[in-house]
Amino acid sequence: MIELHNVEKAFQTRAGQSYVLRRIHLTIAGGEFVTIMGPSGAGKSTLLSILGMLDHAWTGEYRLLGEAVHAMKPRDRIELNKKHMGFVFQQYHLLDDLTVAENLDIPLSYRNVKGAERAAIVADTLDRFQIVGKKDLFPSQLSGGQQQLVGVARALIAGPKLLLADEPTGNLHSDQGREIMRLFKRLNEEGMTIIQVTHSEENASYSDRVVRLRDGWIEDEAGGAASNR
Amino acid sequence: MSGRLQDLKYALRALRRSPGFTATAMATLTLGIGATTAVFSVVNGMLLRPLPYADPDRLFTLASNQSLPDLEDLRAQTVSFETVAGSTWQALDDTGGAEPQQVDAALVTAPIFDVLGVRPQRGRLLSPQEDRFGGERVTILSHGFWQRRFAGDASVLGSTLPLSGQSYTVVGVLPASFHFPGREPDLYVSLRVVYPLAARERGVHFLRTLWRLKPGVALGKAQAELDLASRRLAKLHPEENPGESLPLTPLRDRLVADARPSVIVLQAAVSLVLLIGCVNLASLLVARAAARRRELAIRAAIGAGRGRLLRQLLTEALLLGAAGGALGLLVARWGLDALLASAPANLPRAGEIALDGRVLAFALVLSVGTALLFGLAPALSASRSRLRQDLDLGRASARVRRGRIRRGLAVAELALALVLLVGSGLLLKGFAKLSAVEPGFDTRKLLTFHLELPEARYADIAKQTLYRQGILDALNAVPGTRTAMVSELPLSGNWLHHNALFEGRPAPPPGQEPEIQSRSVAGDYFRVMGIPLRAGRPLSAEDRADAPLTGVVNESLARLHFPGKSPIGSRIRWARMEGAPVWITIVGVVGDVKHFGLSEPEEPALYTPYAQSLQAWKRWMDVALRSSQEPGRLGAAAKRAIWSVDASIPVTKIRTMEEILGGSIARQRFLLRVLAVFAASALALAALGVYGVLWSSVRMRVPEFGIRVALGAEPRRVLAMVMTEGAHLAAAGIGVGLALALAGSRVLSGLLFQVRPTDAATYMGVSLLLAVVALAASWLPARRAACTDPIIALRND
Repeated sequence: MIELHNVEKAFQTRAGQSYVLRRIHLTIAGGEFVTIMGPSGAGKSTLLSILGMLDHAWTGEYRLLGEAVHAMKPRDRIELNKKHMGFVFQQYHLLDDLTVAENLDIPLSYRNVKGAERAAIVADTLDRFQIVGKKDLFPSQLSGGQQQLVGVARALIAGPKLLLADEPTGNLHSDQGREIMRLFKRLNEEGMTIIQVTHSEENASYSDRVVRLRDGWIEDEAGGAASNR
Repeated sequence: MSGRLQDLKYALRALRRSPGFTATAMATLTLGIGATTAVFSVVNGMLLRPLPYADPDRLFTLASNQSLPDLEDLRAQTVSFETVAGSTWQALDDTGGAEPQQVDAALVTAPIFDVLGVRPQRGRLLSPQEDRFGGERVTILSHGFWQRRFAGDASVLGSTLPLSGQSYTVVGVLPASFHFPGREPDLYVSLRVVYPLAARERGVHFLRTLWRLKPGVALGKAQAELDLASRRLAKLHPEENPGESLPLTPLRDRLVADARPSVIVLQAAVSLVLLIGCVNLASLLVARAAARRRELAIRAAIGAGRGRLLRQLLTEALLLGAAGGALGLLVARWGLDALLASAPANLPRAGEIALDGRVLAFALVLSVGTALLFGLAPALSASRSRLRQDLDLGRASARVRRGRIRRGLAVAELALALVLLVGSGLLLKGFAKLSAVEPGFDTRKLLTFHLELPEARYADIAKQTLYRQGILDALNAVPGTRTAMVSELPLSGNWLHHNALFEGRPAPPPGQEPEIQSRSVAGDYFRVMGIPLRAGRPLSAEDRADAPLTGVVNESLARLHFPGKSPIGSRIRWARMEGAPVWITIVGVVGDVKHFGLSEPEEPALYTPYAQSLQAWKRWMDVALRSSQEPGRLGAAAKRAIWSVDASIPVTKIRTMEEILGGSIARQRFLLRVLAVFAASALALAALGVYGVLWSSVRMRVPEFGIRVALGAEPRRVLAMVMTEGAHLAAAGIGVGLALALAGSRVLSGLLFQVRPTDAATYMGVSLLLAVVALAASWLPARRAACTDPIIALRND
């Protein structure tokens, strides 16, 4: 599903090039549940942003479902993102001024889904995530776990093939975190490809494979940086 | 729900959930749009809108007045003009009502209506047969007079109107939409019929003339023709015509010439207020953009394209603009009414001033444009490569960048406010000096009114003298009063001058004799008015018709024509009077009065007794009644006394001298008042700008202050830090503002009285005021910073 070849990201500083990601080669098959781990500053979130097309300033090759993302114009990348991806954030990032139902409706409206159809999909999703009772509440009226549940529901509502999650349980207490991870596992078993960034070994244990990053390099299974192989 | 409806719903909600932002932005838009529209409507009505006459670009006038014989000759010797007409004014007594009333009559030549291209609403206009010496007495009514005097009676045509002892037949009514250029008369009569004596005189230059160019004729050609005709006239009639050039001036320019500088200053001032308002709005929107960036990043991350983001923000900006525009329209309507209500009575083209759609659209476009520019900026500058940063709340670099922009905007606001304050300050100082000018007489407890005797019953001087003496006796019988009369009251806007010759000096060529103001007086005029006697004696009851002719000159005349010696005993006479020379002996010198306005110099003047008048046509008089009590209460008693002599003479223009004095500086006061309101608004907006910038700066720096306090900084030190930031803003704003004010101060120079546009004291005073206001605006944010609780601040970080 995903193939990264020699992907790099760097910043120009006074001291010269400062690399955030270095020679990343990564392949992820459809239906996989992959965890990206590593210490702070290793480049985990940056890698996720590149995969999610939130970041365009990188070099190398990136193919998604056989399409060459690296050769695409930004507008086409947005379309690809809208078509295939959902994003879950550590900070939930719900829109404060919108109710739960409206937060779910917004991604569909951005995909030009007709009003009646949107209403039906939102109703189904509220039901599926058992948040019908919360549909008219604003994010500030929900607990952290409930907000993240809405965040996941929003990421999935447009029917993506790939779910990207950046520290999805980072702001939740452990019970709420486990609840979200179980939800991810269930979605993965239903066929959803999931890539998550986490510091938590427990969360990583829900995935099929762990990719470890250090100083922008992917580590080999033995723990050394890939470049040292 | 369609996407656009959804955008609208979310925009409404977003604005409702930020009441502080919404209220401030709306107030700024409302003030900006409202004030600009109101003032620009005045500018548009007076200066820009074409005159409401057919082909107004072909209408011209002359700077100097003409006599009717000269006008006819000039007309006959030129071919460039389609029609030419003249008009003058005369008050006529309407004795047909319950009380005698004075009406303003325009004495015109018949083509005046063709020149202006007006058709009657009812009846007809003056025919050439009626506009001739000895013609039938007919009148055309203005629409307003028809409504007031005849209650809009549809059968008014053919009815008669008794005017100054003569009966006039109403033959026409003009439409309500017609406004005579300049002062609006009640009715129109033929000059030749009503005032044949003056109409025949080549030396009586009393006609304002209107010239309509033929289509396609160049102004230069017409001007050359007119100048040639003028030179011919000068050769043929050198005594009455100096042969000066007669520059054709567009009628519109002539009508508004006096008011133009004030109106331009007002427009500049309101534009500054609008600009400050826009800067304020920009500052608000830049602050809002910080919160917006995160929201937009979320929307982009869940699939919104840039177009969709722009649409959302556009909806909000337009919603804000539409609401601000609607409220602005209300404010504009109210403001225009208030402006016109407080405007001086002689505001030119006042009848044509109306709320203007184009002006409203202009202000709306400018304000909404600002809202769009700064409101859309976050979406325009948003790029997906920055999405991650924008999702990460509170990044320092973005805050610093926006803080710098907002500080720049606050400096701009302060600078613009300083420009307005300097303008107001200079005008205020000039006005204070103008108000302090001594008019040369005592304006307190003085009631004045105007009387005009009808020619039919008061054709000769003897009858007039009898009447005047009767009035003086009747008024002096009112306890506690002393009364006198003058033909031209100071500051009333009236004056009359003649050419004069001095005994024993060679006579200058005809037409080049010195001009001297001629003022007739009756009663103890100088004592009643409080004009000081400098030498000799005042005029008295002894200066009767059968006594040798006497006169009193003012100091200006003594200084100019008798430098270093006393004029008393010298003799003076009016030039080119028919018959044997009649010499007037100067018996006294009195102090100058500010006859033409407090800011205008007095001209040489000769006061002569009405009883010895050589001009029987001078049948008008202003009565001055000095009282020991409040003069305003004496109007009714004075009227009774006057009507006890002749009940058919209208008593008009009943005003205290203080009112006349106030009226003479009404334009300056009006300008100052409006400018002061604008300056205060600008100051308030600028203070709001400084407050807003520092408040958000303090909010962003709460953790920093928390750390400082935790490390032992005293509250007053934190307070001083923020106050210093405010002081820096003020200093920068004042610096830029001073430079701008100095550069633009020349605009005001024509409106200032005894104040230089670069008056250092004003600049310093205003700078100090702005600094104090800016520091006061810094105080609240500074206090908030000083009161930072380190525990709460650090926990919230």
